[in-house]
Amino acid sequence: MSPPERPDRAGYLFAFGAATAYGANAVLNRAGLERYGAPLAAVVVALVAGVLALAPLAWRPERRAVGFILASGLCAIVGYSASILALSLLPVVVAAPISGAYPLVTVLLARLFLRTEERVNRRTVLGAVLVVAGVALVTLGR
Amino acid sequence: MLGIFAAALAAVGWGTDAVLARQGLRRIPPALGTFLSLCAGLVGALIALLIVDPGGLGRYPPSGFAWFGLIGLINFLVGRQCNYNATKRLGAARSVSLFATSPLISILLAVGFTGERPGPTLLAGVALIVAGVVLVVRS
Repeated sequence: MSPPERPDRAGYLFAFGAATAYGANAVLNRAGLERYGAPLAAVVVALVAGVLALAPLAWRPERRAVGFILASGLCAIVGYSASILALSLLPVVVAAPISGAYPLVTVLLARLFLRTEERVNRRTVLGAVLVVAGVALVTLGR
Repeated sequence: MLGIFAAALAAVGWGTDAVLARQGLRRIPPALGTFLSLCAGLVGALIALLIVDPGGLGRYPPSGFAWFGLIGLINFLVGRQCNYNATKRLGAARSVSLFATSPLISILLAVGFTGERPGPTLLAGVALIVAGVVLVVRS
């Protein structure tokens, strides 16, 4: 699948929709964990809710795709669990900028493994660097 | 040192997630991809919970289940679905840089609802994030 020459606007709307949901969740998560604690239990409850809500949409998928998606889900949980561990051991002003560098990891891996499907040019790389630097400053500034 | 390693592992995990999802989403719809990734994540989280905090779920009142259930719907039904749709349309590298702006949303919510006033460092960070987003969108 070759990359589209002009990414559609719906893609950007979805991206900002995801950022909005994640940003709002960060606020809700903080409030919930302050009140109830047990962060891993919180993750399990949230995942169960998501699985139940999406179960009606499940049907037999193409086998080749399943492995990638399952690995994607496991990587996401590894990331989340590792970030919780980091935050329990380090001040947030140290842990958050390090874990927040994940766009740079994606850019590097996309350049290495998705060459035929995605165009990663200098603007994409510089944009990712600026976003990561900006998030680090935002974290330090709070 | 363990904390630094854990933070770096978080970055690697989340960064790799997007690339793997991009490959998987070539052949299946984002909604199904979201469901499958959540199933995998749930298995991993249950194992981690049983090892680290086996009594964690038992400490929650009904309101706690409701609160984090709502977070699950927002984060996964909305957030990850949008995530996978964006990844499929824009590619992993471009979309992840846009997802990473979520702390900006948190800041805006904090400023809007709690009256928190942003300082110069935070405003400089916001400017960098916006500049980065513009570059990614125009790349």
